[in-house]
Amino acid sequence: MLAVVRPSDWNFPLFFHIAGAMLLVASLVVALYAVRIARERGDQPAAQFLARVLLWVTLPSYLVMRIFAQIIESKEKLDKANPSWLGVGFIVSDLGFVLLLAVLIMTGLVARRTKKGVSVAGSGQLRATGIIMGILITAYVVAIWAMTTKPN
Amino acid sequence: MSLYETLLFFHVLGAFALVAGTTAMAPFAFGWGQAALERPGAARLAGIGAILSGIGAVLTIVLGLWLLHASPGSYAFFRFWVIAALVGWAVAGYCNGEVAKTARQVTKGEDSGRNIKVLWAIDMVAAMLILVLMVWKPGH
Repeated sequence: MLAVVRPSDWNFPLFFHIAGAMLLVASLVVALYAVRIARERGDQPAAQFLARVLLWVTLPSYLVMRIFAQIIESKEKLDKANPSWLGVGFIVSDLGFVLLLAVLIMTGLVARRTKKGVSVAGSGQLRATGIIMGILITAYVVAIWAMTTKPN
Repeated sequence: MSLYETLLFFHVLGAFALVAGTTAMAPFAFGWGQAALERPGAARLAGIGAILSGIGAVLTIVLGLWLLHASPGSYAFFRFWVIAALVGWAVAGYCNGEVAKTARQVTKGEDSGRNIKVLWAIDMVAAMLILVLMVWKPGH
């Protein structure tokens, strides 16, 4: 029904917003598996793979999702109405970005340690990144709920 | 939350699972992160991806068809965007299944060395085309 009343020039940013969000969640699923491998093996290739997935896929997807979210908001002129579902989306994405940055820094440091030949097998830092990623995925599911059902 | 909103939420969640599953198959299909995952590890990740894609595929098709009837304006079935999405879903499903089959063989130690890059690419392109159809709804 929304598509019927939605002006066609909103479609382009909406597509990139959703595609970015999809890739963001997808990359976190891959990163979660990479955390498991890195905790098992503790070597440089495993830690580097994890850091690269987050840096090259998760971060760019986040940026695409967030930038196009802002574009849609301004096109729909929702900034003045400020509906609660939009608030949920912004809280999840902005707080999520802080958590994402924390994960990026932590995995970067872990990858750096392995470069010096230190094993990170069973590392608590990697466990913490895994937990944060789980929280992020859960928060994104809440955001999907808010975006699709649009409460209030 | 109304029935329509509930269906829409799980339909979109299914689409996210479908794309997540397909993305999880990429390291296996393209050999990305080979030094970290090794082929059996990438195949196991692809196996997880196949489960996610399977759940996503069922949610999208079942709830998608249900949504056609449950939507406030009631969408018609015989519209270009609906039929094209169904074709895209079938194509993506076939390619996804073939990649998953190859991953299962590798997990069992029966690596045939099959090149699945093209199959994976068709799978992802079909998924993105479905998203285009869902957003633009051409022929509505």
